[in-house]
Amino acid sequence: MADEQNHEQNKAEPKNIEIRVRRQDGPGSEASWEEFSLPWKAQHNVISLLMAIQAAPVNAAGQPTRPVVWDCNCLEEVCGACTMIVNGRVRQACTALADELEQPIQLEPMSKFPVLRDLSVDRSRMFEKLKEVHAWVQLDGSHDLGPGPRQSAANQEQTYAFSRCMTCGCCLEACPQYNDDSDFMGASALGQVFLFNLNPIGAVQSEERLETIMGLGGLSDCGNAQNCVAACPKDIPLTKAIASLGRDVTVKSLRDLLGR
Amino acid sequence: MAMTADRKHFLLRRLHSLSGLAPIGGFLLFHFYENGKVLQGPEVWTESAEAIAAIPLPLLLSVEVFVLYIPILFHGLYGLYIVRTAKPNFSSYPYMHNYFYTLQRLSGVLAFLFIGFHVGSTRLRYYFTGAHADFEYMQQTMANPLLLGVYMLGVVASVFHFANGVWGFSVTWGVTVGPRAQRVLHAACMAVFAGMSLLGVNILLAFKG
Repeated sequence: MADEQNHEQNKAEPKNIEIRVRRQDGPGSEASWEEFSLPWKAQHNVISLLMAIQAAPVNAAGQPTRPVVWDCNCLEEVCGACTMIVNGRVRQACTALADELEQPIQLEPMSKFPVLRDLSVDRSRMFEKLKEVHAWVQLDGSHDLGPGPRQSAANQEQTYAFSRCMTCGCCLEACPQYNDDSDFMGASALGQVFLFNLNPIGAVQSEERLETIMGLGGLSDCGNAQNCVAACPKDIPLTKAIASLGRDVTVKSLRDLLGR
Repeated sequence: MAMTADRKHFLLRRLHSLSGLAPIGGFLLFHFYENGKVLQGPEVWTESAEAIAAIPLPLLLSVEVFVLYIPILFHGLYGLYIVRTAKPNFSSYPYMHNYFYTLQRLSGVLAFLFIGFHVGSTRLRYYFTGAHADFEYMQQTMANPLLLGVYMLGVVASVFHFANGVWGFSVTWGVTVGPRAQRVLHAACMAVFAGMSLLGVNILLAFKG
């Protein structure tokens, strides 16, 4: 028993966890780094570290400071709200385990979205794109339409991966084509076009959806860096969707040209 | 959903993609085939070069302008605009295709500059001075270490941009959709890059003699 305790202590080596947070008081205000030092505790993740800072907002120099602002919701990597840059790489903070991270743990807000405060960003640009590309199944009334068409198992398998998209923004943060100099809508919206075009009811509007991604900032602005698929925390085959939509718009533009 | 202005953007992008393959890529292969004859000896090359020079000027010039200069200018200038919209980030996201994304843009700019220099010092020189870029002239060029270096870099950059561009083309147009198909094609394209680079450098050294 005593041995075991000793062992635990040796392994644990109670020390501090060093954290650097990129802080910004509001949209447009200047950003600066602030260091924090928290006592080591088993199974800390980035969210629980931020909660500890919130409970006692004192920086590494011992000065009281403003608690760090961040977004989070589900805490199990399915909502995307806590997406931020941890040690230079975009990911969800809730599944970023402190013991697996190099210290100081560096936390930054995503760079491709406007910062609201500290680590909290405004991702509404992504949701606007979902509206633009018609990322839903349209029904034309509330009356009973009877059972919908059956989906084949193969179709379900292909679309399931895309239904897991949580609009977190990792694919856009990692994309070299998604920036202030470009109108590119990014992989997430394209993945949803792929998903809803494969849905038996959604397929009715597939031509309209293809039309929306043939515009400025659409599919053709993709530069094939394929960072999206590498950065996606849900392993969504985004590049497959992009190439498949590429085939669809190739066929559509030829059909439009020759059918006119 | 009226999107005529936007459709123009889409068509320009696709035209950019297509023009890289044909006529530009097609000409690159022909250019390698033609100049590859120097490996069989200067006489074989000269004979072939003279056969092309014997083509009536109006025909030759219109082919040059409409099949080469205009497509290359369009592909290059529109390519520069595409480069301007890129924010390379391979240091944060060091993935293979991300490096290739940056290399594709870098090699494109290098190739465009090189092609400008190459056309200027061979074809435009002929049109302005009447002097053909014959074997002796190319030999003198390659004897200059600086110019030989420029040619080697230009040839390797052009070949890379072409080979990697074939891969990009097939993804963009939806020829290779799945990750496995894309992986296999990419390996094949890199083999073409290696082979053509080797051939290209050998051709340059054969001119040097």
